Amino acid sequence: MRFRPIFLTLALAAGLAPRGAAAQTDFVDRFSIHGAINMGYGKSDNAQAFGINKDGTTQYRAVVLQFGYKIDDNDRVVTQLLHRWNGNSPLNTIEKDFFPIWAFYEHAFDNGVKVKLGRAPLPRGLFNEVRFIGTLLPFYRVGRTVYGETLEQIDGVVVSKPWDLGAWRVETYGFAGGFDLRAVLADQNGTTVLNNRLENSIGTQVWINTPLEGVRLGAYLHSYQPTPKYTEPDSLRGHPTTTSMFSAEAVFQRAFVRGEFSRFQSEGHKQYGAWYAQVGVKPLSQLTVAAEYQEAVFRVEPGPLPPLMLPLSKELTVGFTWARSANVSFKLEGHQIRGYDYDTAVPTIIPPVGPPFVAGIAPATKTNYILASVSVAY
Amino acid sequence: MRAIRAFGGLVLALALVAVARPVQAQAFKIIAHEGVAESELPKDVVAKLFLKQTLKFPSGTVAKPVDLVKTSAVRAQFSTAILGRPISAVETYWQQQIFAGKEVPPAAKASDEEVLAYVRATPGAIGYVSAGASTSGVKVITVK
Repeated sequence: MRFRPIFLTLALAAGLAPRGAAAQTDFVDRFSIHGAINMGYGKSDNAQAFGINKDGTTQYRAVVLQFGYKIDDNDRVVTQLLHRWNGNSPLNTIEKDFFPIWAFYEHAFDNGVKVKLGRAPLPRGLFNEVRFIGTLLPFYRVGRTVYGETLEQIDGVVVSKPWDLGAWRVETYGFAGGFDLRAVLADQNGTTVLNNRLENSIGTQVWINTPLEGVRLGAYLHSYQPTPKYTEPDSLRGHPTTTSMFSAEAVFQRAFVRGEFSRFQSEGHKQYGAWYAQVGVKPLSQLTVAAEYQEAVFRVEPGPLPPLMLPLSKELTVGFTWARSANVSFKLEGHQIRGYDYDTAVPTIIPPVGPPFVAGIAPATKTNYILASVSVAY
Repeated sequence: MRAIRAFGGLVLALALVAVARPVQAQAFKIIAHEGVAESELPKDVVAKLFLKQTLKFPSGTVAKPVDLVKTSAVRAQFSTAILGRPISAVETYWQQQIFAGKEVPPAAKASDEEVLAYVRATPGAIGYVSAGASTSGVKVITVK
């Protein structure tokens, strides 16, 4: 029953709706429904990247439905449901049709502190919380090397507090709990879909909004502990990992520039580093022309051989957005990827055949793809 | 270091080309519930109240801002003059707030009369109406 959660929610809302004109007006003021659809067509000319292959795919979408209810001036509950499908991506094998990406209760204290309990959006970087809302993004997807398709929400607690310091405004977040880590790992032997549960997680995000309207800087730090599946022995427990992100953004009425850097480091010496930079201009109030460059580097440990840093991905994107209104926009974007981060196996490591037994890196695979999409938010 | 310098230079350049909006003659009045202590407020405080970046008046009263609908010409004037951005940019701001799970926009009323009725009846309410609207039963706030 694909849409059962929505029907249940609507039925519940209908059942809870009070009788009487005044009561109904009050209920309408307290209850909110918002939604967003981000859907497109993609086609690549070579290796399959993020579900987009040479055949092209129209099964490319992210659909969000959000229900909120304000219990009183200080308390509310919010549920957000997500459906997403990324063409032919191996990630689809672990996708649920529609699932609650958020379900939290929030209490706002009089001193400005807010506490979210339950499954809440993870404050991480510029775009994590709004990553499915196409009308807010210059491209279909947020910088994939930095954000991936993971670390989207946290089951636990998120505490926030803004600080007004004259012309400066600082927003601070602290969070703790567990989350799902999902990724596709590809090498020359094939792809592995990673779907791990991570617990004992704790972290923070800080934003510094400068006196120059639209200019802000951010830092994020998060540590967590991989949890073995119940079928696995405890010895397979992963190493504690720390991830960080640094963000800078300047958004003006006619132009923007932003960049983010992210790093994952585990005690087992696994390392992943990625960054992107984005720039855009609005020659017309409805038209945005944007470009993005992103890179990712991964430390590979090929068995007994010395580790090496694999330049996992280098991606250049150019895109056009036509915003019919704040609620509807159309995008056309072209991507060029050079690297090893694909949905399908590509040559990665060249094993040594003789002394001094140092592994080599195979030539990078190059792929171009286009993505045309429409975004709606209401 | 070079990347940071380049980013800073780009920010400065973009700031210089950012379009400055001329201040227009106000076609609206800011009003508040009679119980609100303030009679005048700085513009940035009014903006923060309507964007829910500040949840209380300086006196400590919890603020309950109310908007006119987005098709209102008065709202367009208010948006540019007080919030410093057009309605479409404010809509984008609210999308970011909504879909980040942070805040929802103030209630939007269809007419001056509806805003006045809400402000009269709601302690802590703050709104705006067209300059010619009757303001009996509410407090007019002067913007500094």
